[in-house]
Amino acid sequence: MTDIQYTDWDSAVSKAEGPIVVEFWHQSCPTCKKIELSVRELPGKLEGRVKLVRLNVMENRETRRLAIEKGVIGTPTFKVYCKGSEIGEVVGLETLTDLAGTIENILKGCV
Amino acid sequence: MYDVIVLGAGPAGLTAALYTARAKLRTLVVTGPMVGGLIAFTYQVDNYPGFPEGITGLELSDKFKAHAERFGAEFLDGDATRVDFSTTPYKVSVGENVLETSSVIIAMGMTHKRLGVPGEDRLMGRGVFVCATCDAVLYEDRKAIVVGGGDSAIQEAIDLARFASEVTIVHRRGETRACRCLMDKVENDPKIKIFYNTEVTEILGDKRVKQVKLKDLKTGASRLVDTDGVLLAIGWDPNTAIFRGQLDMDGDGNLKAEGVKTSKSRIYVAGDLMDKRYRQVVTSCGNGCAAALEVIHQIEGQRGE
Repeated sequence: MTDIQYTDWDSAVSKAEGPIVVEFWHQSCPTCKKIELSVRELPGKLEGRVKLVRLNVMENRETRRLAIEKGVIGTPTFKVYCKGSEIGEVVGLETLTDLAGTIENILKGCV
Repeated sequence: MYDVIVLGAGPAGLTAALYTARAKLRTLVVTGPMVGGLIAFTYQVDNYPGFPEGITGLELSDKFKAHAERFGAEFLDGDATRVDFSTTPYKVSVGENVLETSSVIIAMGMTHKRLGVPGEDRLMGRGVFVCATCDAVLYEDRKAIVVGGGDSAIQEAIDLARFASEVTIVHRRGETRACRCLMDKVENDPKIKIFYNTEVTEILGDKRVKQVKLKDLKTGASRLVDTDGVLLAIGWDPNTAIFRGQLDMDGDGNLKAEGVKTSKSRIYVAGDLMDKRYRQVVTSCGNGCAAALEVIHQIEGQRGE
């Protein structure tokens, strides 16, 4: 899981060749903390098929603006991108049940 | 078989567990949805003694848990789904897992009340939210509605207005119950307005909240208002549904208790479920401790017989 901020968006997400999962989170978000373990397991479960990055919406104003621009309205939000376009998201309490399975399902839309 | 099962892992439950574990009672905490309980949703706790610089709610939660663990309290992540208090040992089910215990401390706290209107559940996390602290920053230049009229609703509106372009408080009554100190701030903040005698009857939007339907309770007229978010601050419901038929409670689900003692022996209540008047971290820790001491005295008395 790589940490990115607004300056990395183009290279890490928009121009990425394979599918990318972005977690929008911040350190005072209780649900983000609760799902920490399942987030740490994600790379293992989705190994090779997808790259995971995360973006702290509290990092700085520009990063927060970027999240808002991407339509993020609550934390945690996971957005799945395929060839630079968003193909699905998992939001808030939805992340508490079978996060990996839900993301895998969304990834089926990336061929 | 446990000596005590603590239901809930907020300040009351974690303090109770620290005391019973330190007294060498076999203690299990069934955490419920979040370790820390409601304080996990509080960005900064500035009134807990011993932390003059303040501490974040999540950090304080971790410290409480670590303290109980240090003395041997066990933790089970999950919700109690069923209890059987008809015979001893008492039984607490967490899913398929049925646990036995000689005593119980109930510290499951309260949950934000929901409006019960169409769109609310579907758009939860997609613009409908209950925690300004968690997501206020994402409302920069966005519009938000705050539903409620108490101190917490008004405080949340003020917090949101630091970022949002426009905050509208929607309140069913003709006046608020909030303190003058907060209302002065609201009245001086050009970004905040209040609709009195108004209720939200529907939340609309496909993948995100787009509009709310508001009803003027005086005229009966309805209208649609554009918004990006709906923050619910209409009060609290006690988390006591699983005790219905097992413990005495009133029509609103509040457990009947004398201090920390419920209607059944060796079943105690602590935290917000026991004290609706003060509801501070430090008072919850206090009555969690009181419940634990009752358990300890009771069990030690029994062993001495």
